[in-house]
Amino acid sequence: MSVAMKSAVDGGVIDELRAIIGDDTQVLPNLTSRVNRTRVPAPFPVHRWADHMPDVAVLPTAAEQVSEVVKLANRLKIPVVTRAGGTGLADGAVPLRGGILVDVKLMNKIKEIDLTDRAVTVGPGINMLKLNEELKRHGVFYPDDPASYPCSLVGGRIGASGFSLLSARYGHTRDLVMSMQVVLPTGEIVEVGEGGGRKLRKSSTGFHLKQLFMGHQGTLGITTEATLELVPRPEVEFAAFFAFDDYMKAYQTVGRLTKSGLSTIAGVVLFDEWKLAYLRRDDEAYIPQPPWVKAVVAVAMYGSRTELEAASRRVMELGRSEGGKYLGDEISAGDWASRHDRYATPLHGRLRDGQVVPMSWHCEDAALNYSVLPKVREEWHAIVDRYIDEYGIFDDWGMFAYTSSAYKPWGDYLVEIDVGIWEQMFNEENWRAWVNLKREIAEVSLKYGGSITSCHGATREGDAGLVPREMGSAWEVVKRIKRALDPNNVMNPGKQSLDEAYASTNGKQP
Amino acid sequence: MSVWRLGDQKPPEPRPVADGVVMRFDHVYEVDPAKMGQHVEQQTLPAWETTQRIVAGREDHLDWMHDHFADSVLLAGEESETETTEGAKLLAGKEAEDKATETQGGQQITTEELKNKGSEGGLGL
Repeated sequence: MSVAMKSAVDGGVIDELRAIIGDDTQVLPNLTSRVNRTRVPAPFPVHRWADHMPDVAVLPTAAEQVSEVVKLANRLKIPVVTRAGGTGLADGAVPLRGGILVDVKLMNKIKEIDLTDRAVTVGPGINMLKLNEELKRHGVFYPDDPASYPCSLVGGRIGASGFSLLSARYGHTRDLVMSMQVVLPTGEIVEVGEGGGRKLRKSSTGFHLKQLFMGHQGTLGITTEATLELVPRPEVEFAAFFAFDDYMKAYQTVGRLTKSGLSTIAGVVLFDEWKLAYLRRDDEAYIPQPPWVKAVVAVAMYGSRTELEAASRRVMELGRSEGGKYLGDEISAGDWASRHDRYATPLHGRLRDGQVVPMSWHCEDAALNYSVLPKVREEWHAIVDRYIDEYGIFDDWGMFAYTSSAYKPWGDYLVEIDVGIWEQMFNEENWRAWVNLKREIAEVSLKYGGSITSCHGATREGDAGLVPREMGSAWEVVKRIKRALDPNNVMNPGKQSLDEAYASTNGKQP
Repeated sequence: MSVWRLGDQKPPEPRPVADGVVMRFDHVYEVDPAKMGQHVEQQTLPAWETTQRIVAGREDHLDWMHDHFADSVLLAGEESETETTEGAKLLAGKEAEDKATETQGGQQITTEELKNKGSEGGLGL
């Protein structure tokens, strides 16, 4: 697919943006501001950095400003890319064709806390940790819990339709957002929710538009406000980690825990053999573990003291039911606390000869059913192993499987394989190798009836090309929606194969 | 008045505790320097840097995380059933000391108490 449009940001556009935003310090055409908003933590083609720089970054403070920026972009057919925390593990916030980058970090206000109907209304630039610091004094909690809890923002969570570690108890971002204000690709400001209610959890009026604006990766609009669910602040947290000498025993234990009927279970995590090998070499919680430890199961619960005291005893029984050995209180409490913040990790990997090299983190994710986890694990590791041998710049950091159904622990899993990549060695050949590695992993997910992403979004080279295949017969509908809402293809062009919606114009504006 | 004695900042000599892992301070594992010679230059850190900035900072961070998610932490109240490696043996004296102060059986502690107890959290992904 050819480039949809060539960026047309010049001095005149900068002047118009300054007039819209009203503060020159929030319109940033300088190199440093643009470089800082070019990449995300995921592996990046450092040999082609300039290909992904925006032409200008703006930091609006109101929906009306966002609306005017988008209208300007439409008039001049300039790409618009939205960026919140910039913590995504795919390329949702990475510009593919320059243009205007709308950074929502200044839209970070708490607008209303409604303790009667249990809702909080916020701007998209607020962070969950900061929001919960404020909510704590009211005895309530917003339970969206990614591995980037301290640094990701509500707007990015909506744009990616993110996964929450606590989903089995509280649901994911898509379940926790009751309504949103969205600036459409043509600049109109609309409210979407359940029917017409801003604080309703369920309605049967009209189409369910809210989910359409969840996980679109900035291709259908910009969220400028969101009304979120509030739950009672948990009285007690309980976490228990169990070690196994065999992956299948751990896998069976996960099955027992998730079907136990314990409603306070917030998440169950399965660590495979490769993950244990990785942790045993570099993680203080696992280095002391003996060689027979091949897999780990972690379970976490949240709720009242009355509920958890009883449920914790049952979890300790189930965790040992297939031969699991308790890893102790320190690791259970400490490692679980660290699960909320996996971005604070020093990232280095190993070459085949054991030498340490600086590596960036690629986390390839998928949505898969419980029944296929063992087989997918074997095939994913075989792919990565082949690329390690051939290119010498990759490292296999193992796999996790996290319970991923909302309000229940059984059924779906977010499955991740962490791959270390020696980014400094990227040239075009190595970059293509990584893209191909990623595509091969995603193809396995589709082969086993899964989705190529459960958390990060299918926006990167490699798996983005597989979106039409995964969507199947619904792909035509997707393209019609994209074309209807974004007639000029200005919203984050080039992502998720959506240029196909403009195939008659070869991806360019009609 | 805090006193900074330069001589106190020299870290102890590393001792091997597992394949490719050395330890200078209890509970602080380091990659074997022999594996860091070609592509990464290893720095010498003063003792304070390791024990206060990195270790104490990490513990503060984990306590902070606990506090965000619940009022208190319920523990099973049981020791690890697995740790048997050289590293664990080296720590045996400290573990025995800790054990003497812990309550057996399911126990509930506040996040402040957990901070005082110390908690171990991973650094790898």
